[in-house]
Amino acid sequence: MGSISEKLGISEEYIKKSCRLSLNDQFGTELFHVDKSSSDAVFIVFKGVCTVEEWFSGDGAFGETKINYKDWSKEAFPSMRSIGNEDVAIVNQAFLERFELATKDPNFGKEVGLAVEEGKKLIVFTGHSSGGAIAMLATIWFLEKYGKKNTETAKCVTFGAPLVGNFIVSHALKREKWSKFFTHFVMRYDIVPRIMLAPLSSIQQELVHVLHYFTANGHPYPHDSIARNLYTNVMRNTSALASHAACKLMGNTNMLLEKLTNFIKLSPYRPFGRYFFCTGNGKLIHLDNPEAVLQLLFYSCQLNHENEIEATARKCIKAHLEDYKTELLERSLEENVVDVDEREQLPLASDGTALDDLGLSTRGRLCLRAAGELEKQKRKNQEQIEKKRKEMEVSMKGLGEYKTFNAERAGYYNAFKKQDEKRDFNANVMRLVLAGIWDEIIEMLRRYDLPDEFEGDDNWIALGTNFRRLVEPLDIANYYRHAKNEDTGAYMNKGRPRRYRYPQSWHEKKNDLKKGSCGESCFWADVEELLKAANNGGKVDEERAVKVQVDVAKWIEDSVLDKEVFLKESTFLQLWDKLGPLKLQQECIRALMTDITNVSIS
Amino acid sequence: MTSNQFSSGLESANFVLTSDPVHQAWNAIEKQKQINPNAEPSLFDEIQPENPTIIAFGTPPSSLSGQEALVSSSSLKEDNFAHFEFLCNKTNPNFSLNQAAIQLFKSQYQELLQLKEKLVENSKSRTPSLVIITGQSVGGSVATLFTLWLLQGLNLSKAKRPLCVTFGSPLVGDEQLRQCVLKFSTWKSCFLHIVSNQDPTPQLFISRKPGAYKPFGTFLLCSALGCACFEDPDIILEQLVKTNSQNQECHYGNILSDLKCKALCNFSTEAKLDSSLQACLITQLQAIGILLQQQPSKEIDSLIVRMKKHETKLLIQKKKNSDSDKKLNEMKVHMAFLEWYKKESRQPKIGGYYDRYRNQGNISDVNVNEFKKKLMNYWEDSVTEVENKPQIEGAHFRVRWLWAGTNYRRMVEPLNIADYYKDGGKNYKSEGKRPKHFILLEKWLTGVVKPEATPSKSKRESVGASLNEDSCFWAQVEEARILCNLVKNGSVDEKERALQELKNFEADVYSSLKNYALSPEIFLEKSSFMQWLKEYKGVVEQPYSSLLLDFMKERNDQAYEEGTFIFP
Repeated sequence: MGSISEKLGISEEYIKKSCRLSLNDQFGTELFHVDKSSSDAVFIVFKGVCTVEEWFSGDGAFGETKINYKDWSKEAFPSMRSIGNEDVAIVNQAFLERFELATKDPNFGKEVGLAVEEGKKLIVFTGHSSGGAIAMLATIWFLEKYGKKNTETAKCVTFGAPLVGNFIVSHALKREKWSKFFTHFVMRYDIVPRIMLAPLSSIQQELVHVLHYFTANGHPYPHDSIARNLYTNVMRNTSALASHAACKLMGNTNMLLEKLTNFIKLSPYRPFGRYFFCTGNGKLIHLDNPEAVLQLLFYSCQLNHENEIEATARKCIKAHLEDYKTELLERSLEENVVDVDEREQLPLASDGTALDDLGLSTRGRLCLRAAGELEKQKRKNQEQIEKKRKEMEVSMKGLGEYKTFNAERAGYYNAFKKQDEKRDFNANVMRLVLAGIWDEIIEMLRRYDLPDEFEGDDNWIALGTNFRRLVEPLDIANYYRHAKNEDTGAYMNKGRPRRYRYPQSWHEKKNDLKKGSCGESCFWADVEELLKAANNGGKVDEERAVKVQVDVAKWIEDSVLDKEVFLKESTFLQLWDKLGPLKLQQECIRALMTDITNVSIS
Repeated sequence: MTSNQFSSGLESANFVLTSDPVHQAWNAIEKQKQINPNAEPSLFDEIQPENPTIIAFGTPPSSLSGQEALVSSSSLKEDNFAHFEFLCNKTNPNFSLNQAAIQLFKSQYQELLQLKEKLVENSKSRTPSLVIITGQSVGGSVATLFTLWLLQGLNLSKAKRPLCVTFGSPLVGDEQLRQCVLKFSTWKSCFLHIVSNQDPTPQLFISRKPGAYKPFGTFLLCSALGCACFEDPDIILEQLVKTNSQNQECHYGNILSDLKCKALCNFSTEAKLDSSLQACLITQLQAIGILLQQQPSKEIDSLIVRMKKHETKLLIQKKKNSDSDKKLNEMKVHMAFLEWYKKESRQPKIGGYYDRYRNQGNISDVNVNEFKKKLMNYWEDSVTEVENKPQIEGAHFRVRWLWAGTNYRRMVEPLNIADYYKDGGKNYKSEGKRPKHFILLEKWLTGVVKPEATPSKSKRESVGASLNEDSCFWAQVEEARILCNLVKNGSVDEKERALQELKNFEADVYSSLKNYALSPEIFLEKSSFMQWLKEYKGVVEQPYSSLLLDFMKERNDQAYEEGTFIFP
């Protein structure tokens, strides 16, 4: 048990107010409604939409699209991706389009702007049903826009909302530490939070009727067979998806499953944020782990017996409209919250606790355990690599000294490339030790086997940046020493290891820099390629030659690159000598060059 | 590790059950039966042309009793039926198949060949259709054979593998067959066998010929209560035998749709358990009707112990896979050490790393021996693994891997040669003394890299830091030195032959130099090569001049090392 307001950073009163506002005339032609009746909070309530076309649009079988599919959305949601892997978030296109309408409404921007300017303590985006889904997108939009300064002020509270994004959304929100601002209330039997798990084609007919029932006040309950079909199709797809996910959670290695996924389409949508499942008797089961939520979406809505199907299907539709009011507005919430994630070992059989109230079978409990276990495993993986920090520091220090030693000679890039001395060899061993550790880290990231927060961790970003700046030149030296460009191709195209590409992306993301702008660690590769072209008497790519010089000047000014680039024997000077008319026209680098050459002469 | 271990047999079964292909496959079988109900039923029909393409194999009306005989692949070969020979490999040169199934296959070989060719052709289109191959009872056995045959014909680096679904089929082959299929790492995932505990067919052959048959692929075992997936062949075998019903015609369509409905229901079990793995396994056994709600018996306990072992085995396998990257990095470190050793030995008085290692006078040579052993073990294993697996799979990965192997071969094989000749060995290359993995690495490289007509400028310039392209160069030098000795001390006949061979070698060396394919390290004063040259000059008729000797006389080796020498 715990205090809900402490946990969510929003009082019970405001949760109830959100609920009341969301349920009040929840479907309408109006896009959103702003409530300023509280002194220290603004509520922006999104209305639900009522036609199938407003739930599913585009060509995706589940109405899905990449979040950057339009220019405005690409700009509005820059963080919704995984950084190293560069997977872009997938969201529901129809809801995104609906939200786009809101952003085009001058009133919307004005109201949000006002709320931020007035320094309101709280801006709550809320909604019931599809309104909740749009509220989620609005909150992400807000966090992206006002993120760095005003995060603590935004909250998203939804009631019976359908899922709106894939696992990348959850991944990205956790990385940005925004996940905790999203709170979802779901009735155990509400069908709507599960709807997006079925392909539109399997439920289209039924959805028309059910949405109509939801929206038209007093419209009679749809025919039993409609409810029944909707329930069966949604739950069957939910079941397939939950089982597929559970197999992964349990470490299944049978490739037959992957084979089968070629034949069927699984929904891309996954939960994100905090979930509160309402059991129907006043209890609220709290989960933060999206994998566990997915399992619960299936297991808490199972039938007790085959002959219950019609009754359950009916319950599943009515719950969406009627139960939030009784469950959330007419009771005290504080006393009734039960945390599931924090449990060490979930009991596998019914034990009289709140999980019984969700009707969880042993199988369901095993899946929840597996979900918890996976999170634990990710944390353990991170602990494993944290333990190697010491080893990394030793090698980094050694290479740092190697660099300093050579700074008075030809520079460590050239020394390493020559491999004349024992210390060059030692440096090579240190490079390989570091490469081994970083490759292991990157491999885990590739499989999403590290906590979602990892790529946003300042410590690791700094470590990665130092590593990249110090060691990547050695990798390039090694690459061109062995003339790997001859059989494999240019370093930047074919040879650049992920252990450098990933940290560069982290650094650029963290500092809001343009993608590819922080190539200071790999400019040697450009130099080598240009030099090769110049040596072979071929035409030197003018644009590239100029760009390298401009970049180098900038990086030296920004002191992310050391001046040893200009040492007399450096490969860069070799190139510079050959550039002829392409030689730097920029004043800044000319000055730098004169400066340095003078210093080294004197 | 064990405390948080799981087994996903129930979840994968549920996923299989709720996904379409299984139901599509069964419907196709039903349809195939309807195609010509009166006439003699055809062996197979294409039920759906695309997305997915579905091929259904029918069940001939003849009884299966007395059909349990096996036939070995070698006797099939003798009968000029070698279409499954491709499954054999060095460790498993022979396997056996069910005779009845292969007989059916043979009976329509021409038609099957046509179908295979068509499917192979389709797989080359830009958006190839997925393929399901299915059959019930012995029809499923033929479907299995056909799928194996088809897999061999597909270009698996591009085409998606077909899915083979059988319903209540008897097993098709022995343990050797299973081993052979496993060598193709991804193939077993193409086979899904669905078996009801009401169906007597799958266990027919097993009980008549205990121990002769072995299953492969995934088995979905079904009971009236539920279903679960199994992969461990011994546990599958054990469960198959337990099905003991006289029920003749088993309608899998009904069984599957019943189970599909049940999947939405809460299957309550009252197991007071704490271990996740134990609970996973017990719920699986309950689902397939082996374990009812009662207390587990001794027999069940031992079954669970064996199932746990299987799960642990899977876990170890998984870990091994993830460790292989680490191992590769370790090898890179060893290679770096060797590189340094080579570098350090590049002095006229030492004569290069080959001669230094051959003379073994230093403590660091002992360390090098250690690295050499580790590297050789690693590459020997990797090469054997790749050799046993189909070459076409993962072809993309192989190019980079092959370059690493080539670099290794050029660096380490000289050390192996040094060890060999130091101990008085002869004819390293011709007498089969050369380790097989070196031979294969060399062979694979020539398959990928086409030799250039004229060496590039950058090849010339980087020759200083290069390794000998021919990793057996030093063996040839050793042989040449033995020949010099023969010219000095041998009979007249021997002399003449040896001298001719020496001249051939000399010409080879020169043309390799022209190609910048030899490291200038061979010119170091104390190297075996320079010693050979001295000896050669002593035995060859005088006056004698040649391109190589002129090259050496004019001290062109220095320009060669600097990468500035251009051959006339």
